[in-house]
Amino acid sequence: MKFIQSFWSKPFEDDDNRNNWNYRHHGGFPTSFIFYCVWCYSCLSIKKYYPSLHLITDEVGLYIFQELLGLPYESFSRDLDALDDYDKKLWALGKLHAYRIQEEPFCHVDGDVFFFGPVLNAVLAEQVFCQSFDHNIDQYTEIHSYVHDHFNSVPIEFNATLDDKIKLINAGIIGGTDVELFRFYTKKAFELIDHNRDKIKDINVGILNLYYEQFLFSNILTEKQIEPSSLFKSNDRGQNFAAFHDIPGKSRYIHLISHFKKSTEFLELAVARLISEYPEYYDRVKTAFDKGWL
Amino acid sequence: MNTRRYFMEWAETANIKGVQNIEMARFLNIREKKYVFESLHSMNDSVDTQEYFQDFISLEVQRYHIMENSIIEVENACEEISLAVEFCAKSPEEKQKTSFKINANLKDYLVKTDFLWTNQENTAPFAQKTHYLFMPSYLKLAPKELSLIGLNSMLLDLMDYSSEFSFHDILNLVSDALGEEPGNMRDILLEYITGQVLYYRTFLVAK
Repeated sequence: MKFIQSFWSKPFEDDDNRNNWNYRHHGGFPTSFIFYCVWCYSCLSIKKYYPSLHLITDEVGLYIFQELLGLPYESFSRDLDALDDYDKKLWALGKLHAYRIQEEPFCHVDGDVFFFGPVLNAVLAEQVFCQSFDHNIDQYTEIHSYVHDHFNSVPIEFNATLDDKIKLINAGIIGGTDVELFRFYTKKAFELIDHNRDKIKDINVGILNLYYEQFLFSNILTEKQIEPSSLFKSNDRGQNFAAFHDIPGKSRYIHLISHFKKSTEFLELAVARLISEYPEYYDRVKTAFDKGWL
Repeated sequence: MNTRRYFMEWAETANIKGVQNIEMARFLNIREKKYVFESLHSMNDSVDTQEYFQDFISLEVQRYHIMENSIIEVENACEEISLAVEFCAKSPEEKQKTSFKINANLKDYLVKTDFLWTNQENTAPFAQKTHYLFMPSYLKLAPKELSLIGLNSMLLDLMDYSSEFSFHDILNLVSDALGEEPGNMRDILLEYITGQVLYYRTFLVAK
């Protein structure tokens, strides 16, 4: 199993959308310094249990994570340079491009996920797996009808009745053995974007990202009657993904989802853990900022 | 890296590019509010949810006000966090054998921030039997239930009681105050203290 992380620098540098929940300026964190600390801790915590970890990024990411920070990825690639012509607000494309170039079973792990044990072993052999499920299908009501009413061309894989039959997947971790399925899914997502680039400026692109990332994949799985394995059985609302207080006993997986990226009590812990466990990497981040390299 | 504000300022000093402050971090926008409120709603459908939410808002506003305006002078926050992390890794039985102390840097603002539910700063400290608290967000408890503990008064009482104290000292104090059997309070209080030790460092683990 190949483990991958992906970093696309365009959304990260989207200064027009600072502190905007819908976008990914500084990865959604309040400062880039905290973002880099969190990313380093994520990489190092994954690498501890799953050494075959690779970074898929672009020219900027290569400079930051390979040259400046020297993170111990097994390989670095600049495949996300291929996205240079896409709008920086389409932040989910980076992940999707990383999925679509895979040629062997893989597991993609977000840069705000930390492992405190070999937690993925139970799901790695599955056809498709994800972190967890959510059932908030209502969030797509507006974008679903807008896309179908106004976009130039919409792949039929986006057709669906919005009901609870669709189990929405959370892609904090995502992957599986069915590489063809991921290729099909990402092809449809890119088709939606490529055929409707002129429509992007008119809409809330934040929810559009979730629509072609989460909704599309969940709908494809439903249509194909594929039941993905999930790391967590309860839905997102029943699960605490920032249970730092239960590490390493009950809690071996942390994901700084949504508002956790803004909650200083959690950010402080992530930074303090990096300082405590991997001081040399913290020093590299600090030095890079002190010298104005980042 | 002292209060939340100091933590952010500390982080920003490392960042030479301009950075905007985050204020009221949990409530940056309506979507975050909705997330928190829906989580609350799912905890208990039987209560008056509107009143429940208002309490929660007051609590969060109060908490952030305290965090953003108070200075906790801590020499080495990382050391505190390391001790807290070690504490969290222990079994419940071992945790109950741990000795604690109140973070002495909190005392001044424990007194100063004797807040009313209305979020108005109390101009006459000690005059009101009001409740100051930090509520770990993972606790499946309504704010009102926690507020009954009157944590600020409890902390001040504890500081007067001894510089170091055991979990059982705290348990006895809280159960006496609430008229509850200690056995009924043990688990929830242990979880609560764990949150205080790790996330807010109201309690410190005594070396």
